[in-house]
Amino acid sequence: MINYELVHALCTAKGISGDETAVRSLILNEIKDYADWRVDALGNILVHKKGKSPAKARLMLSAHMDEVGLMVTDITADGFLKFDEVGGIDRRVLPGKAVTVGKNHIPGVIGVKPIHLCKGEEAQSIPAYSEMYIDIGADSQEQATEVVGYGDSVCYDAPFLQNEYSLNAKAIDDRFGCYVMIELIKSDLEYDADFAFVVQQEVKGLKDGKYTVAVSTQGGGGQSKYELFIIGDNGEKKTAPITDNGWNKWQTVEIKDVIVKNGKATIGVEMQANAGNWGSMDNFEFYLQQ
Amino acid sequence: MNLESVLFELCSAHGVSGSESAVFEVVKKHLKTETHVTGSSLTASAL
Amino acid sequence: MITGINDEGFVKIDKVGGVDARVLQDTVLVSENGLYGTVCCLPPHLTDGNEDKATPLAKTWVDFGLPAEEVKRQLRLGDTLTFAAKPQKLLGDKITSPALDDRCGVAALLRAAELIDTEAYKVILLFSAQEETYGTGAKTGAFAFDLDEAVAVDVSFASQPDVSGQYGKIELGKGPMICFSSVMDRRMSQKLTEVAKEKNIPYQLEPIAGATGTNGDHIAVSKSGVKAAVVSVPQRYMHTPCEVISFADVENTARLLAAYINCGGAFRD
Repeated sequence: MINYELVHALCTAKGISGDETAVRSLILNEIKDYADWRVDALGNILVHKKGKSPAKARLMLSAHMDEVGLMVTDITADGFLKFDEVGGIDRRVLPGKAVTVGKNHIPGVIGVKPIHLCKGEEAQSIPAYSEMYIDIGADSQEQATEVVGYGDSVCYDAPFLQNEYSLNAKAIDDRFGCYVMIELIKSDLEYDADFAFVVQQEVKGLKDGKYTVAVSTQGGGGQSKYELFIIGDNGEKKTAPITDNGWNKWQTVEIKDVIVKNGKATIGVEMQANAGNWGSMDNFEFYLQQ
Repeated sequence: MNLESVLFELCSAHGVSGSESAVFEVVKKHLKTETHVTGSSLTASAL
Repeated sequence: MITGINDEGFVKIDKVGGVDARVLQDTVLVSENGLYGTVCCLPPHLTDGNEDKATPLAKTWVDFGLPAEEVKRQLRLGDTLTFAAKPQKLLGDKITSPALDDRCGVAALLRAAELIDTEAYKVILLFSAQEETYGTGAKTGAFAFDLDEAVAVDVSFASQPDVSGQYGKIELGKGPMICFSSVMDRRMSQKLTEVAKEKNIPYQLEPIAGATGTNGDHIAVSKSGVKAAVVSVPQRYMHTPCEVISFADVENTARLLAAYINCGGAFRD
């Protein structure tokens, strides 16, 4: 029996990459009494669930809490919001869509030049990010900045529709994955298991070339798995283990010479930890090698 | 008449060219005078 | 309009009127009998590299999330689909919704009917069908009556970041647009402007050298001709699910129409 009310709450919660607070609260509220959990420096929820017996092999299940969205990058003198993508979005889906902006979920729409006024190719062209804008109905920059701000997260304002056969909603990627894990955490398991509700970043628009990804960490150590990873465009994953060894003993782990060919890569950190482990990550770097 | 809610009701009605009947139903609801079907359109006296 | 249903239950569509293909991808549509479907779009991970161009209608499919037999049972070829987005308020008195073109004109007529208070005219309200395709509703609607004058109430272009030139000066909230056009009666347009000034109704001017692209064009040549004018509610993003207007402009359009009628119009003197 699928708990559609929970799926609805998860999918309609707003949490784009880097701004997952609402989703995290929702998940914690569901699982807090069922397992040991903690939230790490990046916002991942790391859960250790005791089963009937300890397991021979360590298995981590992970689902991501963030969804793709947009970020407000500028507010024009006339009160329109300029934006860029957070995560991978095909621009064809943006013109004419309703969105919500910022923590107060201010409604807005992604406007487009009326087709009647378009000349030649314009009527079939999807504008570049630099040409697109969100209209929240403000008459001036001043009026807009009263309710929204630079860097505000923008989510799709999509309906949650379901029929007997299917679900149609935003953020099924990966809130449905989160839902599956919540259900597992709330049930009786045969073996101990670790769950990670992770945050990770898909980066797009990269120039082809060799890249380095790096992160600096410090902490008490003791995690059973702690690694920096990067997945290039061909799906190949490279990892580098991270071992912390004490309070404020910062060290940097890096992966070099990662070939990026189609403009995309996914970078992140994966961890399997136990209740009591502690530490922090800082200074994520991702750059094209010169 | 609450013009804003009438406008919202009108906008929510299905009315693709050639299939306007749902919109006509909303119009009839909010007009005091009698309506008539004229060709494919709806007409009414204002007073 | 639904023009086909394939063996997997995906629905083929064609446009009725000036549908903007750029706003279709991943958009939720709804049928007359209340079925919701989403226009199919490629996940970015599997991109065909064609982000810069709207998918042509001929390659557009709608997914109703149902098995093929269910789709075929509940939908028929020829059924029509509209944008499912519901009307919403934005900041100030702005409203966004599909179909504000021309439901806000319809609303203005309903409101004007409340404000009309004179025997000077016998006023007929025409809620016309099929304007977006061939204007056929206005042609037959006007022909059914012996008209002296007509005012077509539609929407027209307001300034937005990507609209410049003449329409760059039209603003939401600054009042209905009074059209001056070679196919409309200049005296009526002039009188509408005078009435607006007299009654302190905000208004904007819309000079159109040729035909107006509204019901006005058809009504003007009904039978042996009708003196006609066009008044429009300023609007952004025409023909998309996110059209935007200022509500005050609808109210003021109704006031302007009623004021013109109540004072007896352009030809009394």
